[in-house]
Amino acid sequence: MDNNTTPQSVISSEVEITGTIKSSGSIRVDGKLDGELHCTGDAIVGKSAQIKGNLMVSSAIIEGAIQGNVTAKDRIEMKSTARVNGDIRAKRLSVEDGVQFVGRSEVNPSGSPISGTAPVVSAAAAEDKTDEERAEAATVRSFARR
Amino acid sequence: MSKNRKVNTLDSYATIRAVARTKPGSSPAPAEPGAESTAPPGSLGEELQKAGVRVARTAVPAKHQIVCYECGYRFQVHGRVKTTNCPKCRVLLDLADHIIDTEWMETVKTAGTIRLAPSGVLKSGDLIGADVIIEGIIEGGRARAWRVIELGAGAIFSEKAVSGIDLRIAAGAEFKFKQPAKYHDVEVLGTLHASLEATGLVTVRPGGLLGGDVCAEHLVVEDGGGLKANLQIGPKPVDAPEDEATAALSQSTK
Repeated sequence: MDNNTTPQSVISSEVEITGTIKSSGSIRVDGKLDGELHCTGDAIVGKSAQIKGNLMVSSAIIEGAIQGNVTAKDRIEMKSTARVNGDIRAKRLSVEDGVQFVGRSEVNPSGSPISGTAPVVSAAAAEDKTDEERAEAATVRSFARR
Repeated sequence: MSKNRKVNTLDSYATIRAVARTKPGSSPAPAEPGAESTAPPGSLGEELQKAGVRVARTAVPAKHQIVCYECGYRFQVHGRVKTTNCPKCRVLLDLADHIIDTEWMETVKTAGTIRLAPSGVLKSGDLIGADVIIEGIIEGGRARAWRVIELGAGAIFSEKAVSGIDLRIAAGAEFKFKQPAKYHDVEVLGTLHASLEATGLVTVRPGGLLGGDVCAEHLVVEDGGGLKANLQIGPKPVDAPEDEATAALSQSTK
């Protein structure tokens, strides 16, 4: 999604909305939104935007402040001015240096499981262990060497 | 020994001194009258060109950042040298790079790079270098880097055995740290699951995947990088723990 493309709907910086916005096209928010944003198209959160609520979009470019969760079907792009306080979930993620972000991220483009990675074990660390623990360490070691 | 001393070495400094000593009109190759001056007006180059001195581009030797592995002092060295003295503690420093591809039981100290190859096994002793690349097994001893410690695919070690200022997880490597890790800059090209605290920049490259708990001041995720973690990104009003890391390193090397 290009930042310069003109969105179909624009919430300008003078506008303050309380409630849920549903859009079937792309939307740009520069004003204040106290509520949710459901957008089947792309959403651009401008530098002056302040959103308190969840975002469910196809893809999002974030330059402003969001207090809430952001769920994107495709991609989230966080610019250097972005301030996000909430969880994000997307297929792809791009974060520029300078963002402020507190929350949980669920982005795994490769789809590889992160919890199944081999723990770090050394033979020296296994010296004081029982035979059972030693055998387990050896298994881990052989797994890691593959 | 002859009276006329011949200068065998011609480096950039000698060239600059020779140009500076050259008197106007004494040059054997005066500038062509029609030639345009490329030097900025009023500069030393233009004055020399007006005086008929031919000034060619001087190749300046590359600078290398050196970290003394005894005192931690950082300084620069010009050109390629194998050894140098630390300007602060006067210790003779080895600047060579080392590759360990067999069983090893001795301490290696260098201001260059140490690479523990996939076939290398560190039984005992310490590996202390500016950059340390671990691709083999650390059974005993430790690996400490004054700059970057790189963990490659197939590396086996205990978390206490490796330390450094910056951390790099190589492509294809998968690690899960059980203990909290603290570094300045972190670069992830492989997979890392850790409770990570970074005082500098955390970079997730394409193909990289970072998980766990991440607390950092700066974060960059390039397109194609994965992030599956609890994050706290932003400036913190806390003293820089880099100094603590440096102090810990200097203590451990003593």
